[in-house]
Amino acid sequence: MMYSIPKPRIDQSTLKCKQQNCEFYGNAQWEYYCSKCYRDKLLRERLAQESRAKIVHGPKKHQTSSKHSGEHHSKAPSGTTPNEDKKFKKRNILEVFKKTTNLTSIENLKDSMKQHRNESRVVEHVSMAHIEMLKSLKISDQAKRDFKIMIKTLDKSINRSYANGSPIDRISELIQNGYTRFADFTETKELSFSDTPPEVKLQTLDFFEKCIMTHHYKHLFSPQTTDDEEKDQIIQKRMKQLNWINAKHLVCSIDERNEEVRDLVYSAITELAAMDSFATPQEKLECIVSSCRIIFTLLKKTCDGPASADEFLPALIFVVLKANPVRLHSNINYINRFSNANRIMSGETGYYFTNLCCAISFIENLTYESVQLTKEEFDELMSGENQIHSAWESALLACESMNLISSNMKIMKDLRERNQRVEDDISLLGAEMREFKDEIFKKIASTIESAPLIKKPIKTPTIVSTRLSGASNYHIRRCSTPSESSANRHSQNLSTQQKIVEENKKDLLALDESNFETLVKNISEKMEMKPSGTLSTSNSTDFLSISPIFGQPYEALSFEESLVSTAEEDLIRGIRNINYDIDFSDSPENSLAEEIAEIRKYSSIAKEVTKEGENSSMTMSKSYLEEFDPLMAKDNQPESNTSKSLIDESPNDYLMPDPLLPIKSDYRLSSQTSKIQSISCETGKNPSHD
Amino acid sequence: MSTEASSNYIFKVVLLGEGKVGKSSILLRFVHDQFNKNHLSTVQASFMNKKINFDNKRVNLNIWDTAGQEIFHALGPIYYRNSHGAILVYDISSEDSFDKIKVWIKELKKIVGNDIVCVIVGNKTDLIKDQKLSYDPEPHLSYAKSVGAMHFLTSAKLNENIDEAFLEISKSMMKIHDEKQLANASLNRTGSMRRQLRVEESTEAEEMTEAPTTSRCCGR
Repeated sequence: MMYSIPKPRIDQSTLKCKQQNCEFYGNAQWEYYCSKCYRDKLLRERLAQESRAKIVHGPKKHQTSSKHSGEHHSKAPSGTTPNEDKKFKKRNILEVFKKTTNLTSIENLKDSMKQHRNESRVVEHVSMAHIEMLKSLKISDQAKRDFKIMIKTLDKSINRSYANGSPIDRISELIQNGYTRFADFTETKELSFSDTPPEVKLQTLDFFEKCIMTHHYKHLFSPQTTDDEEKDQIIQKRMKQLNWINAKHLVCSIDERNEEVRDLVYSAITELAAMDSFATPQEKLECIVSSCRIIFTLLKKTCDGPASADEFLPALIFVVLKANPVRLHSNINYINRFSNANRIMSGETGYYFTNLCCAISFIENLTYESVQLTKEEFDELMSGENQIHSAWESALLACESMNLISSNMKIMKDLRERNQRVEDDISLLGAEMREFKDEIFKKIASTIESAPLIKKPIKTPTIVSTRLSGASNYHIRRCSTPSESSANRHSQNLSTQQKIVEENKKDLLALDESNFETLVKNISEKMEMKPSGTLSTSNSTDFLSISPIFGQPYEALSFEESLVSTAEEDLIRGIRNINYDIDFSDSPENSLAEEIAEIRKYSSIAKEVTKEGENSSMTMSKSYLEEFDPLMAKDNQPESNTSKSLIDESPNDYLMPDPLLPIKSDYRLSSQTSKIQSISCETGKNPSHD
Repeated sequence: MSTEASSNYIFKVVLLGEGKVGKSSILLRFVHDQFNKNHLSTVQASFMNKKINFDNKRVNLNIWDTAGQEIFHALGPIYYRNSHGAILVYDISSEDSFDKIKVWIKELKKIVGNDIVCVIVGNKTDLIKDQKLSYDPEPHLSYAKSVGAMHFLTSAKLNENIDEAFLEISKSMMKIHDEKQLANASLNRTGSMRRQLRVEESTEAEEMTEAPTTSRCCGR
């Protein structure tokens, strides 16, 4: 453990013993004296103190030199360069030496008294910082008082100890003894801690340790008397050299490319690096424990089942290497020296701490064999000739862009999720809307059902009834034609009638379609029944007047004409022709009258039919039919007038069913003029006529 | 030491053995009575605490798993310092794993001393049944006897002999612990005991000026 500095600036005289005319080399541990001179110096100091004690007979005799050494420690923070430190230290030590050797006066005594008061004030101050903590401890007031006394006692002896320049191991022992003494004190039955539960005792012990270590942290952490700082630098350099090591070299299951794993490694590194920023060994150990726990979490992702030490240690080494924590050795030594021994020797904390020590030891003694490389490869890598760009390295190099990419990915993912959510909501809304629509329809249907058309028969306008009667009149007549295509015509007529009904419906907004349908059904039923009932009357002149040959074209034409002919003139002429025709034909009125009689008959038959059919709609239609008859009768009397008035009133209404169509057909039948021919041409059924 | 402390034992037991011999399986079987690792919610299987009651005495076992890879062999001493017992596991189907045991036993005796209780465990006896593996435990048994270690044939898979091995090691450790406490407190291994004695010394000399002993300087 010879003191040596690799820097060339330091010459022999610096290395030599501080004592003048001494040819031996000095050592940092002996305050830069050689071993013999240091021993002499201590002896002199002790003698001086003893002599002082004889004068004073007081208990405050040990505080003589604590002021100066305290100053020395506080004024030389560990961050300053070693060279400066040492010079400073030398001067201080000399001062101490001079003062301690020469002091006999009462002045110095006063100084020391004042110093002691200052010291105790400092202790009070530290205690103030922890006063809340002390208050929160569930121990008796007497115990608290004892606690304070114990702290003060230990504090005093520590101050004394490093004032005397005791090596760190001695101070460590002193503090450890202090812990044990306090622990024993709490265990002693008849004293103030007797009624304290064991867990509170443990808390108090921890707090005791915390108070002491917080107070003395700056003196005891990496003290100048040790080579901790140099070791820190050595290991830091070593780890820098070894930064090419990746998980593969350590046969460790950390997946460097996995983003999640990398995040966990980062947090483990952060925890480990945070160790340096805490003052007490407990807190430092807590950092180690949390770092190790994170490592276990990440190992659980890569290997199945809980990780064993076989997986844990390589991972820890990897993390330590990548973390390269500052002042690692100092921290480890600090914990080793001043943490309650029980804590680092047993339990989970002890296990993790031991593993960390193992990791550091492994890194220090790492050879090419440990990382499965040949000696040449290892040397190349160590000297930096050959460089491996591991995934870890590139991750660090490309950190910026990687972070950007990953953050962008996260944003994209978020957006995708939101988009999905919007789509889901849209479909949901659509479904809701459909449901709503269905509901509305259902409601409408139910409303219609609950409010059926009762007033319809009452409010039926006469004109519609007229038309209806006319239409049915016409149809009945047409259907009674004894042609082969009667069935065909029936269906045609049916559709026609339906059209008519639809037209009427437009007028009769109140009328319901279904009712019309039943009406139509009734009418068609009636018509179908007709042949059987009409057979006897089929030989009427009117029917005979229509030749079977013309029946078909007429069928088409009669309707087409009504639909197609646009010129009013034609209609008027047609009407004139009708009149003319009427004159020529054998009394269409007669035939009409006959028809009416027939219809009356049919309606009675229909009545019978409806009686048979117990359908409710039938009864509805029955009521229709009942009403139908008188209207029809009313309609029948001013036959020609009605037809005229119809045309006059609504010339554009020729699309409406014309009750006078049979008369028109009469016209067609009698006069086969070119004009009419052209109309029939449109039907495309003229050839049969030619 | 109070009376209750004497009935409470805290022992540190290290698990040594080559990789893949089933150290953590034994540990999981003993502590959680589980073999399939995937069924476990435990995050780690390297440090376990198990309390067992034995003769109305409470024994707290701190079981430390160690990394068995060859590259970490040199780290062994860091692991097993202050330990009271060691369970050395080998795979009965691999003679190499037994050779490693011999090395560890030597190291343990050298570093920790004879006070450490060693238990040699031949794991994976289920292989004998499954694969008709021929296994002759005789040389291993005689070796165990020669170094004063207990020998067990276990199967973590079938839960055979696991509890017995841990129970035996606990018994032995308790025996040694009791003997030591009776013999001389100053010989106690635990740091707290050693320090306690020092405390007493220093309390006596509390008011005296503390000066470094000369022996320290001479030691350099």
